[in-house]
Parts: sequence; structure tokens; C-alpha cells
Amino acid sequence: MKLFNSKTIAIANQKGGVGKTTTAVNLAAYLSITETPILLIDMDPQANATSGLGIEIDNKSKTIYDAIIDNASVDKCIHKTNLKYLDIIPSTYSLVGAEIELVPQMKREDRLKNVINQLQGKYKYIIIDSAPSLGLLTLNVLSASNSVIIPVQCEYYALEGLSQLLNTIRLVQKHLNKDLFIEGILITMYDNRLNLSKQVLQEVSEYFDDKVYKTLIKRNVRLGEAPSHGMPILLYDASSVGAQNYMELASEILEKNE
Amino acid sequence: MNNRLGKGIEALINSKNLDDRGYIDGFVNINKIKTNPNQPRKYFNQKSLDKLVESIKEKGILQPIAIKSIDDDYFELIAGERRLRAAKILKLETVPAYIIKVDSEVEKLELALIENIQRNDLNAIEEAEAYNLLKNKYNLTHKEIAKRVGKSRTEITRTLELIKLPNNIKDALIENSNDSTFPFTRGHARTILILKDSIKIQALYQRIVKEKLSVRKTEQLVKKVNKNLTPPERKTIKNILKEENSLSRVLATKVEVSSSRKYIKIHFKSEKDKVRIIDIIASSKK
Ligand SMILES: Nc1ncnc2c1ncn2[C@@H]1O[C@H](COP(=O)(O)OP(=O)(O)O)[C@@H](O)[C@H]1O
Ligand SMILES: [Mg+2]
Repeated sequence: MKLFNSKTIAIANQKGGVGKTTTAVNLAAYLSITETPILLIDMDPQANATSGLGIEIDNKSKTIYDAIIDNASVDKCIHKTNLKYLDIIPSTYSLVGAEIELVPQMKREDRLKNVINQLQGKYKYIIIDSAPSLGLLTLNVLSASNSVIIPVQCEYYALEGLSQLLNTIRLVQKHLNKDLFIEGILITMYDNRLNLSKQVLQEVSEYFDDKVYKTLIKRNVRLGEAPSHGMPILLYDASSVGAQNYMELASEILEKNE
Repeated sequence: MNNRLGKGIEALINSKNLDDRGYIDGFVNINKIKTNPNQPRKYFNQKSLDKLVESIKEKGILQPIAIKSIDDDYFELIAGERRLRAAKILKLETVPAYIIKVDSEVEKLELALIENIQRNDLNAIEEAEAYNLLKNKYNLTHKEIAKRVGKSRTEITRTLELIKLPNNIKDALIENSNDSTFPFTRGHARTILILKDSIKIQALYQRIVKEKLSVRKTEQLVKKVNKNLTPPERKTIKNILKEENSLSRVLATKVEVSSSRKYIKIHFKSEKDKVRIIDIIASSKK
């Protein structure tokens, strides 16, 4: 089997509804169509990435919970998806409990990192969707990742909370993962016609400069519909604007990583 | 080398470079023939092989295969791999053969290639791979290849482009080379290669197959995707916001500027407000 120089990318923002899951699922899907193995890890107890890819969990299926809490062998937790080169480690609601269960443990921020270490070389990219919080689960995500993509939704107070996230990233760099860096800032739910969208883009660009992706993710209903059909956008409606945008994003990211 | 090769294998055979050894009435023992390791990758279509077997059963091998002598005991196959296979299936002991004197590897490869191309045995990808071999292994230019196989240079260049396709797409082209309903053609291949970006190529390929897009439609999509590459927005947005801000400061109202749609939109809250704004604009004229 071919071994890859894997890269793990977290999608993080403690705000909910900014497009983390949509980005994780669709970025992973588009990266996988170049026929390189990609793994998506769902680290959100809400398990939206899991259901968004049409993965059904019963009480026998092993999830990321089993891997980080019960030390289950990682191979048993990997599920196939409708895309040949995309695998997923799904999440489940019990992951909520993980935050508490992990507290008394040693090295509790390294649980996910240890899981991912078992995979070395099997996947080219590992994309992690994270929960809308800065708790222990997200610390595990940031500690296990090489870099982080921060989706920023075009809305009022878009930048609020961003400094808290950046602070957390800095703390993680200092104590848990010194090589962690910001892969990019992704503007989501952008609307050409709204001044607000332009203002958010401008402000974010002023602060983050060329860390902001050229690709803007426009607001697009098809992106909102796809998860309820259990499909990434490229299978649900490849001709939609949302599909275009995520395709562009994936190729922009690949280009930067070449 | 002269351009007799451009005319194909018959031209060469007419030159009667026949080996004196082992050439018995034109029939050679099948066990003495080894296949050419440089033979361009070939996928035998089972159906057409079955057909050939049938025809040979009926009429025998009409066109002799081409071989060359490699040592005292063995010959190497130059052209006619399908016929040889069919003969093996039919458990024939001997096959009619031309024994050809081939000087170099290039010549051997060319012969195999010419033969296959002329028989239309190679699909587009196999053809491209064969040219690529000629190009890389023997440093032939497109023009040289063209001359030798008797095709135009542009045809060679176009076929060679297919080498750049991702492997899964190449495989699909090969697998479906006999299926005229398969929506992805050489024309599509050439068009999506304009994209030069693996994700976009794959994404568009999937759409072509799934939505049965025409080459024309594919061309349009490629254009659209390429246009997206340089979003006009980013650069101008900063300027537009500056313009909007300065105008709305002067006019004390909401102003929208669109460079792409070429308008400046000035909002007002009431009739009175409208008059106020018009006054400002009118008075600034002097
Ligand atoms: N670009 C978009 N256009 C329209 N709807 C979107 C877009 N991105 C996300 N959505 C929808 O918005 C909601 C929140 O997005 P989601 O990706 O789940 O955010 P998060 O994971 O950050 O909570 C979901 O219903 C999703 O389908
Ligand atoms: Mg989510």
C-alpha cells in the first residue's frame, strides 16, 4: 500500500452555524475525487458531518467515541462513504459525555492525536469537523492537527469571538502543538448583493491578509439541502454554485499545499 | 530510416527482408514465438477476439503475423498479437508468418504500432501510450512520430495530450472504447484538459458522465470555471467600499456602487431627503 505524507486539517470556529460541517464534508469530498484517500473525522457530538454523508450509526457501529474513550482500534471505527476515496470516522451523541469522561485522564488533550497517529500514511488528508465550543473536544482537535481552517460567516458580529479562537490557537501552540498554524480563513455564506458581505470580507482581509481564501463560499440553498439527502454537494448537485465554490476551494488548498 | 514505414507494414514486407532460417512455407511453430515486451499496452476486447477466433476457425489466418528471429531457437512477435492469441485458443500448431529483419528497437515498436493503428486495434489511450513510449524512450519528436506512423503532427500532439488524463479517466476510456453510448469521448478529454487542475478535471469528468454533457456544453463549463479563477471581486471590493463610504459620507445616505453592473445607486428616506440629496449633487457641479 502506498504511504502518504499525511496532513491533518481542522475546521474550527466555536460559533455554531458558520459552515464548519458544510466545509468539512464538501472539502473532504472534493479532495477525494483526485483518487487520493481522504479521511473525515467527525468530532462534533451533533454528528452532522456523519449524517450529512448518509452514514447511519447503530449501537454496534464504532465511532470516534470508541476510539478516543475506549481505545478501540482505529481501523474498526473507519466507515466507507458513497465516495470511493473518502472514509469517515463518524461521531455519535455519546461524544458529549467524552468531555467529562476525559477530565480525570492523563494527557487528555492528546487522545485524538494518538488515534490519528495510528493511521500514519494511510490518508493524504485528514479533515476534522469540530464542535461549536472551545472545550476539551476542540482542544483535542487542535492538538491533533497540522493546521486549521477557520470559516467566517458573513453576518453581523462575524468577527466577534474570533479573537477568543485565535487566543486558544496561541495557547495550543504554546502548550500542546507548537507547529499548529492557520491554514486559511474561509468566508462563508457570502452574498454579492449585500454590503454586509463585502464589509466582512474587507475587515477579515485587513486582519488576515492573504490567509483569506480567494474562493468565497456563496450562500446557496443547494448546500443547505444536500445534508438531508446524505450527500456531499458534488453528488447532490454538481452544477450548483455551492459545488463550484467548494471545488474551487479544494483546488486552491491543493495548490497551496503542493 | 526512410519513410517506407509511413506506409505501414506491407511496404516493409515487400522489401523481402526475409530470414533464411526457419521460414518454412511461411508457417512457423507457435511455440517458437515469444511476445514483444515493448508491445504497447493492449486490452483485448473479448468480443472481437471471439469473432476473430470464429473467423480463423472458418477461413484460417489470412494475414500472416510478423516475427523476427531472436536466436537459433526463437522468434519474437512484432505484429499480430490478436491473431497469435486466437491461434493459441484454437490450439493451432503453426501460424503463417513473415519473418522480418528489424534493426532496432524503434523499428520494432514502430512496426507493432503501425500494425495496430492501421488495424484500428488500439484505442485512444493505448495509441497515446504507444506514442509516448516512442517519444520518451527513443526521443522522437511529434513530427518524427507523425512521419513514421503516417499521421499528421497535430493528430499526434492531440493524441499525446491524453497521456495527461488522470488514470481513472484513462481506464474508463479504455474500458468503454467499444461502447458508443459512453458519454465521455476524446473530444471531452481534450476539452477538460484545458483545466490543468486535477480536482476540476475530475469534477467535470464526473459531471460529463453523469449528466451526459456534450462537448459543446463541456467547453462552456470549462470557460466558466476558468473565468472563476480570477474573481474580479476581491480587488475591486476594497475600492468600491471606499467609493461607497466617501459618497455616503458626502450625501449622508446609503450609496451602492457596482463596477460589474456599472451603476451608482443612491438611497433616500423620503421626498424631502431626495430633494436634499439632489441639491447636494447639483450644487457640487459648480
Ligand atoms: N454556503 C451556504 N449556503 C447556504 N446554506 C449553508 C451554507 N453553508 C452552510 N449552510 C447551512 O447552514 C447551516 C449551518 O451550517 P453548518 O455547516 O452546519 O455550520 P456549523 O458546522 O459551523 O455549525 C446548515 O443548515 C447548512 O446546511
Ligand atoms: Mg457543525
